[in-house]
Amino acid sequence: MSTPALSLLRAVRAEWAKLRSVRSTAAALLATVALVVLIGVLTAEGGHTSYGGPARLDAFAFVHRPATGDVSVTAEVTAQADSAPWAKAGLMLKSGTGGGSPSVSLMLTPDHGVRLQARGTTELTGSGRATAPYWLRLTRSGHRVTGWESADGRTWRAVGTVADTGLPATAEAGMFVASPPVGTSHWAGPGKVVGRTHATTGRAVFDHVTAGASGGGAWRLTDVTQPPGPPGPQPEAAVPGGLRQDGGVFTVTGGGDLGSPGVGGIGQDGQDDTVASTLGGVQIGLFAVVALGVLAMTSEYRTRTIRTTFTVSPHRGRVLAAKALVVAGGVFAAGLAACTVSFLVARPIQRRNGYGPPIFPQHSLTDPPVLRAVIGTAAFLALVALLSLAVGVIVRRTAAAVILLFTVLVVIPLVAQVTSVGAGLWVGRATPIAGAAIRQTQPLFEDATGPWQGFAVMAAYTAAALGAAFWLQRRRDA
Amino acid sequence: MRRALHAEWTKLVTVPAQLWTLVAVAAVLAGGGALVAATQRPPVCPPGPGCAPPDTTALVLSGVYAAQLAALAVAVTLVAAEYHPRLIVLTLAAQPGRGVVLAAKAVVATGAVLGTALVGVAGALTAGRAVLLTRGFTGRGGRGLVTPSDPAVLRAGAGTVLYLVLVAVLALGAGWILRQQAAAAGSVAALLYGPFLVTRIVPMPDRVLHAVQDASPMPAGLAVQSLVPGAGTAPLGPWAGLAVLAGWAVAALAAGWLLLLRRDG
Repeated sequence: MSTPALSLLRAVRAEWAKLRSVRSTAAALLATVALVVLIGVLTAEGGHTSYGGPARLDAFAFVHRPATGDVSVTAEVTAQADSAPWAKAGLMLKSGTGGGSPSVSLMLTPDHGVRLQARGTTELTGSGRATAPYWLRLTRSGHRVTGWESADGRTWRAVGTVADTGLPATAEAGMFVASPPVGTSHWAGPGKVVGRTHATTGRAVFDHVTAGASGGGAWRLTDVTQPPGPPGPQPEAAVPGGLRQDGGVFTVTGGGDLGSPGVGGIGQDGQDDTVASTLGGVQIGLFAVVALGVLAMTSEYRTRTIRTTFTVSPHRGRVLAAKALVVAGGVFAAGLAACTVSFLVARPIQRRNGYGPPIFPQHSLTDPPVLRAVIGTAAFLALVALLSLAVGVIVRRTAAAVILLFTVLVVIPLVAQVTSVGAGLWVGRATPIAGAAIRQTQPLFEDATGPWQGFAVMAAYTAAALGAAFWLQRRRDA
Repeated sequence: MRRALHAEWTKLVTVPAQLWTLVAVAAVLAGGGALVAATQRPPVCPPGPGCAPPDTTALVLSGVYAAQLAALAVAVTLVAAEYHPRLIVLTLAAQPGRGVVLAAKAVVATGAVLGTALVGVAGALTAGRAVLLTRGFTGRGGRGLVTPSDPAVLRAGAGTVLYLVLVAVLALGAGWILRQQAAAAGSVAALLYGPFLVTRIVPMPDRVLHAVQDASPMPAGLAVQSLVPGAGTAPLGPWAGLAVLAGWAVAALAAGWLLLLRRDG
């Protein structure tokens, strides 16, 4: 091993011994873990959600005719309006035209590809990226129905087969269009987001419609309406459907939705980021990290041991590098433990409070976004420690450094958030606290920045502060 | 007592860092007020029951969230500087009445914070008003504009000054208890901001939320700034909220006094 590397190793060992032997280090690390986990658990305990809609949604515009026996329905969806991410247009076999009756449907959506639904509760996924124009086909064989998809109408791929569909011998076969209400959010004031939903109208064009071995007859448009559910909040009545037939080309419009919670995108509008909320405690846990990072440097100035340190290890850059390695490593390890425990402990509590399947996916620690959030949040705490260390070098006085960091990391974000929407978003995007965004796993309206952008901002501030610290320490008397 | 006061006053005004921190209290209050006012926009909806203009008085006084850090730093330093190095031995030799030393420091610190906070609050209200006018707050249709002659605005301003003085007293108490600058400043800052942050992060039922807000020094104390009943940082009334903070401050100072009497300097 080369000599500089060896001396750095020795300096790291010395700094580790110094840090380890001080009681306040253990206290600060323990406090970090305790605060992160405690806030994570309290947040999970306090958050409740419940799905307020009906158990099954079944309302749409249906263009149909009776079809007896084993039929095959094919159509090309040549165009679909992007009226909602989960707007649906496709083919359907349904036992009647009453809402809630058994049905099998194969649909195209603007944002979620091809889906095969049976009775509103079973969902099979086809091509995830398909958009109009696209070919769909449903074939029935007794009680089994198979969905097919094709980009060109020649080579077909099976989406899946559903059995026990509950369809009678003569079913209604045809095309349908649905488009659920979409939610929009706006700022009603600092820290206050108000959401609203408004109805949408879906529109799709069907061509090359064939309904082989069907009973024939004219196509009819029916507005399938939601059967009255149990007392409680009812979904809004869907927009009435429309049909224009031009030779073999059908243009269908309609509102409504079909599916059930977790199926067909129902209940997934504007949901909370359950992973990020288990890690919210870092905003408080960083108090202890700041204290640790600052003290690692300023305690040497306060007790003047810095002179001894520099006598033993005259290369100042090496001393600071060793301190940085030790502090960042220690805080990262503690942070990783804190974030992992917080996530694992808070998940079951969130589930109990309604944040569970089918609407909220059950995340596991090994899902890539969760891993990124947990490891990234620990890394954010390590960056906070490095920033504190650097400020400690620059300011050299504990109280001044702590107050400065407190102002930047806590007070300015707080004042901005409580006084102005624009200022709050700007501070969340452009100041070091932006790094806390690394815990987001799902884009929400109120996010100030993306996870990696925010982390990069924090990393840039830390790098700049460390650079200034190295430069100043070399130039100054100890 | 006069000699003790004179001594403490000299200790305060001859340290440049302390003077600058005192200036910072006023500067942050006034500058923060102007800055926050510059980020405001009048509501676009027609005036009516569903469209309340923002509480501009509380907004232009929100520099207090940062200014209190400077106020507590001055107070903590005035006490803790005696312990590193241990000058307290000399101070107590010159003025053996320990209660007198404590009282003199309290009078000097609160007096200094009172003066600078008055300047800062006056600056925040005038600068905030001027900036709000340029932002289109005409004051028509409710309390859109800060009017310093309004008794409610005067109450909010005076309450903010008192709030800062009480924070200084709390910090003095922490300084006597902990005798270490960083530890005392950190503890007071955590006590002030901690509960406030927790109520913003953790969702809780209203009953618990209101109990926490009413008991915590910062949310309760800053309720005095709100001109809209029930829209402040705590459900308590303005003076009751300040009384909560005063309770914390007096308890801390009393604990510090007892410890000062019992310890060897």
